[in-house]
Amino acid sequence: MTSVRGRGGRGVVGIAAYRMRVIQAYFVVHLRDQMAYLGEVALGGIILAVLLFVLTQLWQATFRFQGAHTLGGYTLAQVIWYLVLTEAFITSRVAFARKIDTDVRTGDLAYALVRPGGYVSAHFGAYLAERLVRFAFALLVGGVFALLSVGAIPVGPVPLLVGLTASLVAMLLDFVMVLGIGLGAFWIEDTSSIYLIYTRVSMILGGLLIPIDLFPDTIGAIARALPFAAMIHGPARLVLSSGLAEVPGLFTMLGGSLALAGGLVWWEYGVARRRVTAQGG
Amino acid sequence: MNVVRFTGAYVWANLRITLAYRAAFFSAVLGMVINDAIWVVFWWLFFTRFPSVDGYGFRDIVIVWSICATAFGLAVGLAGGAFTLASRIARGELDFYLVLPKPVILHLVVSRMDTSGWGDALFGVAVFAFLASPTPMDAVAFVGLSLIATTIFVSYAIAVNSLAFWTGRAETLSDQLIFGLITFATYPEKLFTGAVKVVLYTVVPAGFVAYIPVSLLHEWDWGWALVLLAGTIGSISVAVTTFTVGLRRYQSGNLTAMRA
Repeated sequence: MTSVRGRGGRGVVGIAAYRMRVIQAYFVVHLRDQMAYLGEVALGGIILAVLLFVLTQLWQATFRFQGAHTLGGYTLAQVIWYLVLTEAFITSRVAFARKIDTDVRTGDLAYALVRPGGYVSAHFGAYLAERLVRFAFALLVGGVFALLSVGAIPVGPVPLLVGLTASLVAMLLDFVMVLGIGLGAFWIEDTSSIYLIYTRVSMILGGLLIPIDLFPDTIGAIARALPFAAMIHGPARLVLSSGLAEVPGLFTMLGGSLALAGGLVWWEYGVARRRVTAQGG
Repeated sequence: MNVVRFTGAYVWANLRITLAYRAAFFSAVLGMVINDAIWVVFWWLFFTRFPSVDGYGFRDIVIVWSICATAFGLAVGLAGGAFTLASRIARGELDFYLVLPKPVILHLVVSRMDTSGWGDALFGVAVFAFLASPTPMDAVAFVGLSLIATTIFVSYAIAVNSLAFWTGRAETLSDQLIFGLITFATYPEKLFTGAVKVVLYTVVPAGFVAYIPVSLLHEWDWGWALVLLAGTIGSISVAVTTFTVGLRRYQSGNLTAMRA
């Protein structure tokens, strides 16, 4: 049993250390939970395998029909590995906005807020555990699929590590955005449609199914100006590239978006807390 | 006729219940319209870059999406219970329906409505009307073929959800099989060959949901129309048989609930 003791002294450092321990405790508990239901996670691999199979057929037909060895600078094998990386990010998403939405509408949030450790820290620990397990499993399934269908491609260890680090930062940004959507339940009845739109817009403008390098110029420029490309396309492209020239731009976009979204959601959370009312019963 | 009136009354009641929360209803419908539209945007982006893939173009994929979205939307809108059957079987919640005079399976499937389905149906009809440039005959064929595809979607949902009678919990498996059907149905048929194509006309009937209806919309062929009819009757038979045989294994739950 994991326990979180004390508030870790006074001041910002003490509070931050305490929050970290809370996150760690929730992370460990939910990691064990994920491991207990690994079969359920494994079944999720069927979806990914079906998607990758269909997309591989599509891209194979496209390369064949175009009679080209490369499209937008990508070989067929690179496109399939690109899809593995982008699909792993998307299929590992955790739809916890629905839980926040329910907490807000039922008034359960009022009880959750008075628990020690903090509501957001608890969600973040749980999110991180679930997301990382799903992401690792998706990479495993996708990697095996890509190896069997198009074979291995040369990938440098440094671009791979930096790309995976960028994916972790992107997951943090995704958490902040989904938290913001879930807290929207303080103002609207149901946030599920907003979450659905968020996921779909990020999929298209993030270059999930088509690398952004293959977008028409104008739409490609718009996509690059938004954070979704840095969250989905950026890390995948980085892993497939031979150099690190795109690293500063990618991390600037991710960091800037995280600071902006974090500030807005922090403000939203503050306003939302003042609107909390508990239901009787 | 009695069955049609019963179904109509149930759908109307479900619709009135969901309309009690108007904002939630319209946001769910709008959300699904935008969701579907984004997929069409993906295909627009794809065909802007590659105007034709193996003879398949943007208009072809628009027709695929219009049929699939309309049929799936009507399926979950009119018979949403078929898609939640596995969890209700696992929780032993069928008792209420077993003692009523109407056919159990019909009662179960029409007893639930997924509001977002109306967004799918609205999107499908709108896309067909505005992007597929249909003639009046195309429009008639579209309505008929969409209703047939709806029937197959519902039958498939009943069959895969009924696996819960044997496995206990089948929610994830049935969701994924339905997801697989939708995924295969919304991509061009020409991508798939050999054994995969056999699967797409049997275990995952994307051929009957999308490929044959789309080819009939392009060019009517009585031979393929009869194949589609046979496939539809086959789907209904498999669904009813699976459910009926499975129901003999059903065990009630001890959950006490009040229905008001």
